[in-house]
Amino acid sequence: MFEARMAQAALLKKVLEAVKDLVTDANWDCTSAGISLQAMDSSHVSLVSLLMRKDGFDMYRCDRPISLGINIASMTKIMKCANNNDAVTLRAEDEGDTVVFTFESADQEKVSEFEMKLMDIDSEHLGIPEREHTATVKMPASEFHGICRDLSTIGETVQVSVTKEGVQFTASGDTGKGTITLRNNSSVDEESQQVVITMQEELSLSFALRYLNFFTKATALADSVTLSMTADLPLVVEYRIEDTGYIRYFLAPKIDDDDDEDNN
Amino acid sequence: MSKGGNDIACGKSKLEDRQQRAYAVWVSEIMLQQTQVKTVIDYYTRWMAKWPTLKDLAQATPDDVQQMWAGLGYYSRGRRLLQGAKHVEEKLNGRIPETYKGLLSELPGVGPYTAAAIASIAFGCVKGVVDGNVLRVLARLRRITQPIDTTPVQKAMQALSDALVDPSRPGDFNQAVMELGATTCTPKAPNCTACPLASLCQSHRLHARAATGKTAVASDPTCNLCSSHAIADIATTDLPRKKPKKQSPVIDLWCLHIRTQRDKVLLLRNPDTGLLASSWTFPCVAHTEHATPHAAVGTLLPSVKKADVVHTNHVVEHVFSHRKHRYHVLHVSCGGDDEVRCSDDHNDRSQWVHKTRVAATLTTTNMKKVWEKVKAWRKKQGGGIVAALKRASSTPAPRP
Repeated sequence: MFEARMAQAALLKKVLEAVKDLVTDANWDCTSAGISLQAMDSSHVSLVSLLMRKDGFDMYRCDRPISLGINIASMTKIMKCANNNDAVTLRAEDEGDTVVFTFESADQEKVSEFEMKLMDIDSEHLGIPEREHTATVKMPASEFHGICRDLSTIGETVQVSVTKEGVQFTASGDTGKGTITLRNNSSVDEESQQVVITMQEELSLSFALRYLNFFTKATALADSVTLSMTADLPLVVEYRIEDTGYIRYFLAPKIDDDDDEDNN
Repeated sequence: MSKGGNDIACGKSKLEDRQQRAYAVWVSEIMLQQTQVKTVIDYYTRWMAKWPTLKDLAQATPDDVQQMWAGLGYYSRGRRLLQGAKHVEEKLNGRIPETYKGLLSELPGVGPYTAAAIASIAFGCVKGVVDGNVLRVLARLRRITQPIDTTPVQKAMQALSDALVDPSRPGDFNQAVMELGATTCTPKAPNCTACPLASLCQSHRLHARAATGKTAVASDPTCNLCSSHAIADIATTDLPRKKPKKQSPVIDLWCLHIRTQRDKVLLLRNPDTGLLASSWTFPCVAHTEHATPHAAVGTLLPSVKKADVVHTNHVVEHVFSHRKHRYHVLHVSCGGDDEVRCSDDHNDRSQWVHKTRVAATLTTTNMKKVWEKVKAWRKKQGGGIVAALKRASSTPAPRP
């Protein structure tokens, strides 16, 4: 038996918003520690990893590990039926092929129940190394959202350059070039407004803005976002979900392929 | 049957002159098939310098001819010319048949048009030629509105041409009609005011009457070449009409770009007969509901248990003369570092090619297009998140 209850439907709605453009179907892996989800987009360029620890729930019970194969679009439709302030309970039998969503209004006067069929999703679980990075940039999530959106109007690719002075985002395209620079300002009082850069050495990497724009759908989940970068390795974009866990996105850097070289 | 169909040589000139002229017409008409005059002139001049007579040509080797023909295209034309010359020398006593029927039946690569051209121009046979130009002139002249690319209409056109041809100077007449089609009665902008046949041309007359408000000429209800379309809403330039083209069938294929960690790419050699025979290709399988890419990889590479198949969302379309292929490009990374043995069915015709050699190994346009898409896709997705995460596990952490 698996059962988990959270006080506010809003959180689950935001989580879905953060994955639904990237992933069509995904397994929600439930264990006694919490719920996790790992999935790649259809072209295997990026990966999303979600963790919601059991502490983040009002009530959490998972007798044995269970994988809920869920079509994200279907779940999004069901969650649309909940008000933000409704309490949500997810329930699944160990051998069942459905998951039941129960929405209770704050005043307890309305209860809705939706049952959704589960899917068999054959997905490979990738090992994600926890590692140190050459540079990390923590900034307001809304700031990052705005930068990605603005630079998308200029080009398809953003070059992220980290120096001691700050972090620079550059995009260029047929119409011209755009550059946005953020300076280190860890002195700002309010933590969520800080831009904090830590780095071992300067570096500059390029990423597809298309995917970054998918990632910034998670902006509503957290005040700040952290970008972790190492040359040639995936960019990690992390949004911490308060008291609950995180959503992390991994994006392969652009490389110059040498398929054209016919001389070696 | 028309006069041109008879079996009596009708020319009066000397035998050697006739034969030499027939050889020259034969060479030029074959070269002019599907090829423009300005391209042919140079080839024709060099050909006639190298092999001035049919006897000279009969001594040539296929390689000589191939070399002479290089760049002209449709190489079987040159081979057939040589075969024909040898046939005439060895079997026909060195004499080109002097009748339409003889030319048609004896000479390889000579069809109704070429036979009629040689017969009328070189031998003075009363036989009408029918080529694209003649078809246009006749269709407009007699306002033949039925599609000309049907057998009955084609036959009628040949009969019409045979009936019209000038019995005293058939070769000149034929060349004159072709010339008229090429210069005056042109496909898009016919110069009707300068046309010597304007007074005889039914299309011209019909449109002239329509312009002055008079009713169109009533059609002959018994004529199955024009009866349904005698009204003026068909412009002269709409003639000759053709059957609507059939849509060529579209074939959907999964096209597999299978790559090892060390950037070796699997290519297969096409069968020795059929479409693009013997050329190298990415493995392709029919794109049906039942054939999954995973199953295809399993059949091809039995030892690969779990391949990582990614839809690149790239579709390459390639139109062949009789069909269209749509290649849905899939990227397959097969686990190991090294190349994997193909199944016995495919192994003899397979090779693993390093990515730097792929472009040089592929010779066909369709596969070159697929390769371009693969490269573009790889550039965009940076080799994929799977490979990038593997690198992250194996790359040492930056120094503290």
